[in-house]
Amino acid sequence: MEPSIILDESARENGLAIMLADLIRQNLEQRPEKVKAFNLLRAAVAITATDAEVSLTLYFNHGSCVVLDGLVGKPDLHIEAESEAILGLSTVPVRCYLPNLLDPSGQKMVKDLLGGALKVHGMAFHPLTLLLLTNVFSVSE
Amino acid sequence: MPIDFPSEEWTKAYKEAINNDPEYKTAGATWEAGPLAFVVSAEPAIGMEQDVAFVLDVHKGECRDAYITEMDEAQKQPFVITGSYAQWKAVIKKELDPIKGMMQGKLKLKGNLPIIVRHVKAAQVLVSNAARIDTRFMDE
Repeated sequence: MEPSIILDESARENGLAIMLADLIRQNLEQRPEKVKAFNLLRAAVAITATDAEVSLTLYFNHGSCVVLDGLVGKPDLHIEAESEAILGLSTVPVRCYLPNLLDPSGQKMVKDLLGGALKVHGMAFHPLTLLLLTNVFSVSE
Repeated sequence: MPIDFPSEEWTKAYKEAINNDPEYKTAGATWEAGPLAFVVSAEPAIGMEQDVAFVLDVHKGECRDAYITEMDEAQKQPFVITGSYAQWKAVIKKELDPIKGMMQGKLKLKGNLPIIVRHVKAAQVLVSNAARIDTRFMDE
């Protein structure tokens, strides 16, 4: 089954939603090995770019993803950070489903997490979701 | 003397600013993904009747060419960033971070996003060079 990424009508003017929908779509097209992680995901993930004051909710359901404007429902994970840090998450390299924390991007992510510049609510209860999400988003080669 | 934005002269000054920036030489050293087109949407209220586009042909930390171009030519470039005059003015004056602007939908990017994300630092340094040009804006 082809991965399906749908930008909901509500998110047509949400730049972050457009970017992330494009990022997921293009990443899966260019890196078919990521489709497996995408197909395993079944979760609601909210993302807020605090400086841009923009939020979205991604509903993953085993091979499909719907991108909605704003915070919708009760997400399993809620990632909050400034614009640059959110894009920075996509640059963390992944090996065998695990983020490479020795890479400078991985170290920056850890530093942001510990310093509070990056908040991932629900991380303790949904670690597998976070790992799969990192795989789907990572653009690192 | 201030240079009108947008104009052929301004794009040449932009090319010079980029090539004089050692930070861009380093940040953009791995960029091989092709030129970027910048589209300024028409704004008749300030005398800009049509969209204006310019292209930066950047490659491995160097700007090889910069020029004003026709819209259909701009749309053929691998990366196209579109915004209103007011938004570009804010970017040039460093009042709007381009990444934040894209997330807010104020700037629209067309192109391969994974490549842009991998080179986000280079993109930021590239755009920040525009602030080094003594610019005269059409609405001032």
